[in-house]
Amino acid sequence: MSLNSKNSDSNFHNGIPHWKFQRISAIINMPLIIWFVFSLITFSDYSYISLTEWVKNPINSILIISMFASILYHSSLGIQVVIEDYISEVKSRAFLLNLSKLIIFFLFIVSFGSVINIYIK
Amino acid sequence: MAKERPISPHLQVYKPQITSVLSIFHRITGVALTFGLILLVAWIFTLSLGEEYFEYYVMFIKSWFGLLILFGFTFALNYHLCNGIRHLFWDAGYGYEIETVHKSGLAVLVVSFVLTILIWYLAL
Repeated sequence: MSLNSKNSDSNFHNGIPHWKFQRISAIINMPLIIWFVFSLITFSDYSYISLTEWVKNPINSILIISMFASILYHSSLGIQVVIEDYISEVKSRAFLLNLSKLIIFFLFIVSFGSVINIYIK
Repeated sequence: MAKERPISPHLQVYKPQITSVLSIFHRITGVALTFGLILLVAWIFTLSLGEEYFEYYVMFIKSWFGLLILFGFTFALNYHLCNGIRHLFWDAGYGYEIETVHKSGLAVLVVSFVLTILIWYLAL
């Protein structure tokens, strides 16, 4: 078996886009996370009403969805590298790569749906 | 055959130094933050489900275990953010001198500690 076919389950031979998107998402993460943390720590009360009112603001809704999209995408790229580095067995590596992407995609759907639900409530 | 070889990045044959410890800590905090994201998604999800569900979330996060996770999450986030900026400087070709690497590493640790305390001070 050649090295090529052994590693065909990952982006072993195509690392440049991965490297680039990891940095791009990192840079996008920064202002979104700083905005999110700053908004939350300056909140006067953390009641259900005031939090949902905050999420309902259209700009906040869009920023929250963008933040979840960007950090989950960045996570997915990071977890991928960790799996590729430490799991050498081809089948379990492929399985874990798919599983991690599936779980992270599921988390995005839940966060996206939740923001929409709060917005239309 | 391949199974007996050391696995990259060769943690088991590498002498721990400030540089390597901070490097692996970037990875550890990255993985921890990914698991922590489940908690952040649960926050917005319970918020969307309704007040009675959100109360359960608040109850959990205000328990000593929840607060411990949240505090760890805050520190991991600050560390990963600061060290991430350090990485971006390296990617741009700056800060490779050994002395600079040690100084920036120490700065990352100090700033992430200070930010963590500051965030909790402002939030509480």
